[in-house]
Amino acid sequence: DKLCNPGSVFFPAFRVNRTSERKEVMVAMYKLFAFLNASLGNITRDQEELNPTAKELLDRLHNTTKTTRGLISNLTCLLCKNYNVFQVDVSYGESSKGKSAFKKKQQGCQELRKYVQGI
Amino acid sequence: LFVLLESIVFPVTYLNVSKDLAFQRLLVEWDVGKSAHDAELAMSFEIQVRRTDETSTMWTEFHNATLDKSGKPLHWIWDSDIPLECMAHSVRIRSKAKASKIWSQWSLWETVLGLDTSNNSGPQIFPNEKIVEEGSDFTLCCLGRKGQTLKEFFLVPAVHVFNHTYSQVRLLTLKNVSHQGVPHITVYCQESCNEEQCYDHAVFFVGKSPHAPNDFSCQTQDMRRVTCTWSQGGDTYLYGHYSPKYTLYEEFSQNKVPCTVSCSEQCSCSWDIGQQRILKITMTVENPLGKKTTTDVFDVTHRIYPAAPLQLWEECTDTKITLHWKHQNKGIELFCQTEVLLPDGKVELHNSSGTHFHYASPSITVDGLQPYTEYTTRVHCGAAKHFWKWSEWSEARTIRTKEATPSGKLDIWREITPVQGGRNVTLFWKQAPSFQANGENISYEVTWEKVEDCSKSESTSFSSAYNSTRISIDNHSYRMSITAKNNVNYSLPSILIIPSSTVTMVFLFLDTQELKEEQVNGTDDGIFITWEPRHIYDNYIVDWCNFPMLQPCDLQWKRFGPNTSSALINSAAFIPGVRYNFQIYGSVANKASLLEKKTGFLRELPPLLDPVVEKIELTFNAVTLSWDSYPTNGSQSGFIRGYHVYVSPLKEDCSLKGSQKHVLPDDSVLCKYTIENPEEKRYTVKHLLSNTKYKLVVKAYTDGGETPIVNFIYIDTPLNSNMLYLLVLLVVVPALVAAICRWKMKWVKECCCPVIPSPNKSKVLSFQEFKIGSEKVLKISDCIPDMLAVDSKAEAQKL
Repeated sequence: DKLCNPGSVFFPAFRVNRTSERKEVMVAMYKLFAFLNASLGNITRDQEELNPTAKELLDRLHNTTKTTRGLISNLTCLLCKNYNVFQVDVSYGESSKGKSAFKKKQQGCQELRKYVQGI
Repeated sequence: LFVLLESIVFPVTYLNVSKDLAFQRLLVEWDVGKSAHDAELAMSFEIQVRRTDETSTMWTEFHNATLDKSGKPLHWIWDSDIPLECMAHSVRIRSKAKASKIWSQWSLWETVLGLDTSNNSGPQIFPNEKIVEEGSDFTLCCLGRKGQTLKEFFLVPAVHVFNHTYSQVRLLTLKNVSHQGVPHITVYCQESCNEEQCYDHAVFFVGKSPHAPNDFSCQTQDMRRVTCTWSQGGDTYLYGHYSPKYTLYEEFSQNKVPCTVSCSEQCSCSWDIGQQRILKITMTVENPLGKKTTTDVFDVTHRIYPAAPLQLWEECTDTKITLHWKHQNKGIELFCQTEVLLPDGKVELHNSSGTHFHYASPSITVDGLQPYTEYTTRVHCGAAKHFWKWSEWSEARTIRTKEATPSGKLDIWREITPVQGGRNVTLFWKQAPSFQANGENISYEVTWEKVEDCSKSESTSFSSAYNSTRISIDNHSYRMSITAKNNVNYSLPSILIIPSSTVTMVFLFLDTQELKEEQVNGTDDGIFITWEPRHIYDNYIVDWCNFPMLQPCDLQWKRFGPNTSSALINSAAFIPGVRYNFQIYGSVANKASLLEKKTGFLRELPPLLDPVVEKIELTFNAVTLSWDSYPTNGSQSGFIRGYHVYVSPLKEDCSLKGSQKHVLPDDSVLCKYTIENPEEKRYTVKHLLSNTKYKLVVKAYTDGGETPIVNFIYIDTPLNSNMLYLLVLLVVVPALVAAICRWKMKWVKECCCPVIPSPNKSKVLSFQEFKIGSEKVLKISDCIPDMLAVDSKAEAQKL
């Protein structure tokens, strides 16, 4: 649990609440899901390399990635149609490529924990 | 010089030790004096290795070398079983000339340090990421920072380890490492603090070196492009960029094979070989734990695996199919084979006659087929010269042969019913086993004509939905015939002669006079019929009704050859408890004659009806039961074999003489009498007790048993009258007589035995000759008294 502590990992800030403007909320969500999509890409690649025999986990990663892409698509359309927002600056964390096997595992675990906390 | 050599030592003058961290080994370089080199001495060296934290030497090895004049230093490599970063290692060496017995002094220890941890930001695990072969031993260490102690150093999943602790170093040794069913093992090390920098982690992978495929093989389809295939072999547990990598090399041309390996169920690699014909392909499979090679040497012309034939098309007649197809393999002579799937599921293979080049028009002809029948065909080919493998099968093609005249004959049979002025003949037909329709749109044409006058024939056509018809004919002899027709032609006719009615009457007469209906037995598989063979007949026919109780009864028949005299008749319609009647006919020149009659059950059941006792004749010790109207004929569900009469007194167990004990399901006991003649419908139960209540029942039985006993008849035997009479005679009459006698005793006495001496008063005594006057006198001379007494009474005085 300590190793998966998401405290130190980068994650887009989601500083909106019920009183925030709807547009702000949509932009924040877009940033979050765009970041998550990239993270899932790294995590899935690392998982395929480190443990390709865990089929169930890989399937769940693929499915979650598809859902995330669907959400991004909907948010893109919504932001464009309702708020004339065509571009959003997204900050992505570090890529896990080139890191040690342990670091790859740890980073993936931390990012997913952070996502769960945020959601 | 020899004596000098024995005592001369050549100490090590130079020693240098360095680390090769990539291979985790010490590289040792040393030398002795120039004089030894000049003398080209053969020398022995004793090398010792020691770790800093261990006082004892942990490795000693002897190394022999012959020096040369070039003066080059000597080298030695030592593989460390623990990471060199973990601690300092020291080496020393001493020497001895082979001719000498004296060792030199040891050199000083030459030390290479482990990792300098003074500038470390946290503990460090070595090795940090490693691939370890399954079954090997493996040591890790964790180096703590100066001033820090190591609190935790462990593996996940937990495995058995040997633990060693030195001042700032902890070692974990795993022996005979196993895969653990997980993709990697994680190592954790923590100093005695909790901040993030107090931890280090590492991962290592346990895997296997790759397996050499044992099915590596190369082939070509067109002699231009070669494909090599092989199986991946067992799991190495190493994935991603550690998974096995395959490379192919052609030895004769000394070139790496320019192909891209792709693996799914099997691995394969293809490339163009140009004009080369003989190849030696070496395939190397490698992963971080090792590599294996396998080789295939071959002549390309001996490894032709043709492409599957394409574009099949056919020509066919009623018995022949000729398949044509296209070759894809230019310039290659092929030999082909056709597989034909028959309707019965069997498979036939037919070879092509001769070989084919692509520009010829290859074909195969399959003969001896059935008309109007579907066959599924496909073709494959192999190299005509130096056959290697059959190609893949072409796409299957289903072909139907053309129609032809129906072959064989229909099987025809009849049922004749006399009516006024003639007969109704119901004709039945079916396709005999030898009959083949050989086409579609089957119809049946029935023709009938008088035997004596063929010019007046009548006929009717029926569709294939029909299998019978009724024809009314007069009393003449008729020829009935039936043919099957398809789109091509008519089959040969099947003929049946219906004799004239006079002849039929004779047969009927004989039937009733001579033909007894014989009982036959059923088995699990049917009803077994036998008949007396007679040599004059061409065949025998057995007919029966599937539903004897219905009209129409679904007449069935079977034909048998002249040498057959028995048959097991079975029908899906046969059910237990139904009586089936079989008629056996002999046929010659299409005329059938009834020979025998049989009757039987597939399985007999208990009777449908129990005998109803119509008359009961009761005596004091017997009862006679009669059930005369009980039917024992075909309406029963088995042949009535006899009867059981059950008797019991109401309150006791049975003990009747002449009976058998029978225990009912409720454990009560009856006496059982058996009557084995079904026509005997009257029975007397004897030896009953008079004035006693009995219960009785009469049950009929078949080979299927009898129905449970449910209803009884109750009787009460009367009192025995003879006994009464005897009672009256022996008791009542004597008593009566005794009473009367007593009542009239005086009269009787006077009458029979009056008091002496007045015999004249006796009415009984009458002695005529002894009367004097009217007085009766007894002559003294006729009587010899026994006793004499003088009576002085007055009455005597009177006398």
